[in-house]
Amino acid sequence: MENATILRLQDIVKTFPGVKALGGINFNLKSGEVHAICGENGAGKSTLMKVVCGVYRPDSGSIEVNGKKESFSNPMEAYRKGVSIIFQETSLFEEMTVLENLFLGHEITKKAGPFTVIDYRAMTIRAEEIFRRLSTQIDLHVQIKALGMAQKQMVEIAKALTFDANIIIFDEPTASLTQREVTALFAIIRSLKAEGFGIVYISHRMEEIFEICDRVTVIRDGQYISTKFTSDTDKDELVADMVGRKMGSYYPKTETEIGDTLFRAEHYYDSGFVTDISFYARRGEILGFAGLAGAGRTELMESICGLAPRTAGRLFMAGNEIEVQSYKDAMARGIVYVSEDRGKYGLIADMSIENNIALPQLDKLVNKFDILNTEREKELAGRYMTDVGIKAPDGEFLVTNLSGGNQQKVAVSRALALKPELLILDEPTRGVDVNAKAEIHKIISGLTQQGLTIIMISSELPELIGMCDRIYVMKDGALAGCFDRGEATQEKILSVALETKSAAG
Amino acid sequence: MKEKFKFTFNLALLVIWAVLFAGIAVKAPGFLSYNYIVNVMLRNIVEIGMVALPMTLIIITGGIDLSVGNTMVLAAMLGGMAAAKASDIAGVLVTLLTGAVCGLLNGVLIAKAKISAMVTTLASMFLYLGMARGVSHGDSVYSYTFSEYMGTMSFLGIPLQIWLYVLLALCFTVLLKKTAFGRKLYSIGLNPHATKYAGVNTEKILVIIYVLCGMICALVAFIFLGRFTSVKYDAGTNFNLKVITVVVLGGTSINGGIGDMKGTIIGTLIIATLNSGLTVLNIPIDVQTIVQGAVLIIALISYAVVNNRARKKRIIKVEAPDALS
Repeated sequence: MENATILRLQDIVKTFPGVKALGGINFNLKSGEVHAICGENGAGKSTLMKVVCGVYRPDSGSIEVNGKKESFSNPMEAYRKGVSIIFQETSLFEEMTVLENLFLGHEITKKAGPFTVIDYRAMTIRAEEIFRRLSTQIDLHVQIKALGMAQKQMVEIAKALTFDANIIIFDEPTASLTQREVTALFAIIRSLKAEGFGIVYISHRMEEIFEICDRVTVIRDGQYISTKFTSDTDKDELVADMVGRKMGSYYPKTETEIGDTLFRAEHYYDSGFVTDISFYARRGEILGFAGLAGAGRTELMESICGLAPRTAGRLFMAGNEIEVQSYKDAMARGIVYVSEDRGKYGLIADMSIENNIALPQLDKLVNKFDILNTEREKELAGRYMTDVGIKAPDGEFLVTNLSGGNQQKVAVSRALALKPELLILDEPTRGVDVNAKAEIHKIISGLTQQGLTIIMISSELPELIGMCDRIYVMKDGALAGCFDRGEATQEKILSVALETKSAAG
Repeated sequence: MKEKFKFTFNLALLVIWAVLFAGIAVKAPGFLSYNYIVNVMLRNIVEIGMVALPMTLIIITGGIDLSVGNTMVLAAMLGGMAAAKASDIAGVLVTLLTGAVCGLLNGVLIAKAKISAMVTTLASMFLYLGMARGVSHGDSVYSYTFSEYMGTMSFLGIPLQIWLYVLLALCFTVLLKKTAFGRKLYSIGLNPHATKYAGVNTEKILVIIYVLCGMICALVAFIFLGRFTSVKYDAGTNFNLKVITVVVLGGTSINGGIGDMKGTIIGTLIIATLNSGLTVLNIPIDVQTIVQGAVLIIALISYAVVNNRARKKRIIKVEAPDALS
């Protein structure tokens, strides 16, 4: 049993429309091993794991679990065959209790006369036993929505153990945990490892990989790069594998002349979460906003743009106070916002590219009878499609058929077509592949040279550090710090972003 | 591509209509007379057809209005009572006002209070029904001069209400297809959040279309009262679903975002042909209802077939950006 290979992936290929997500990945996992998969955001780590547990079907390649070839058509099937996955965003049902979630889809049943009913007692006994093994205590009868992030994750782990899975995949488990919670999680991973589980640990946090993992496989742009023992390698070597080029040349930041203050917010409050924010942005500047998920960055920007209420504070544009009641007001003042969630808030996926670009300014493209001038609409869209470099056959192409990167370019085109002075980009490179990411960075850089001011929210610190002139750090709805380009490092920003949270947690 | 797809579905609808029409005409030659087609077939469908126009706008935004029939009856009733007590002018004003207020209530609840359109208008359907019964004490309310004109007058040999319908159908077609307002309706139906985040005042637009729908119901109230000379509180009960049937038959997706006015107009013609044609053939009313249901199912299946084909075509076309990148 010791050191038997329990999961073997060979030449896994997966393509999506417009993107080759995985191009021939090899991977193997032994029992009693913690094996890291690392790579940049968008390298294909999560896609690979979704292929393993049946969320996606690979185009080609083989998956071997416990020595048998398998092809799962859904995660439930994978669970039953011994592969369980703990997703980045937990897949628990908020309205159901812990117990119900643990056994969802594989409830323990008993016979009650002619009926088969759920055996809550047996489930409770089993769940208690599992939580004892994890040395955690969670009330089995509370709803998931009452739990914190770390507890939810514990429930996910417990859920994995309710199946007799011997392979557990953690997809960036520490992304939203405090330092103390991470320590507790690592203790659990070590005890699972000692019990003979094989653990796949997806992360791009170097310290964690070296702390907890035995081997590490690097993938980049969907390609297999290397597999090494963590004892034989070091951080620099891994980073070099992940990035595949020198870090410095990665971000196409061009030095621009920074002018006077364009935008200023003073003692700004939204309807409850964002408190007492004062900041400014200068002409030609790229201003970064860093912070953990839920730090209030999106809330702040939406409120400034009139998409969410404001309770106190003043806004100034070029020295004049402005009143923003709706997003229309913000647009009229030259402030444009590109949402982090393209699918839900950003674009109308089932409309064409040109309809999407024109949507915010339809009222400028009509005659006095409100009849749309489709020629002008085409022209407007065409101009920005070329400028931004959207790869599509024509403007009538539906947005839903574009790759993530091209969709993001449509969102940016739409914002630029409004001729903004201040462009707020919320996670502009989330969910796009590496090439598109570089292109978007180049576009952003180019815009500042035309005198545009850009506020960029991003959860990727290297991106912020590489692109921004200044970086504000938010924490729990308030500003926690500000760094100039020269002094910003990942460590400094993270320590500010985490500071009191880890002390309190 | 979208255009082409709509064209094919509308074509399928036209074929269904032509087959029905021809079949009935062969069986009952009397059906083909000008008099029958204009004064029976078309005149009987005008009320449903007219309300189906704003209903198409509502359904395209992903909403629905189950209270149109009751709005119409309440407006006709209050108007008729006002005309009897005061004057025709009072009757007209009260009718229009009633329609607008009924629509406004729906619109405000749906847009501002964010209650689902289905639930809101289900409630207001009963509300308006109860009010109509209450004010009339269950008695009939009678027609007055203005509504008589609207319901019975002809112009160039064609009943006034048909002229009105044609005019309105043209206006609504242009409104939906050509204006920025129409584009915003589709956009709301496809993704209300993203539409709001594009700076479109979605709440205002929703209120406008429900009020517009109420106003059209008021207009129809004149015609309805004039045509039947009296109205009772329960006259609009079947009306709600008939209007929605016509719109859905016309290929407008009940989920919003997809559909057009042409489809609704052809759908209206199909139902009109069925109603009058089956009567001419002396087919009993229960069978007629069954046939209507069957035709609706056939139309929806053909819609699904056309839709699937369009989807497949789309997937093939996806390869294009790949090659370019």
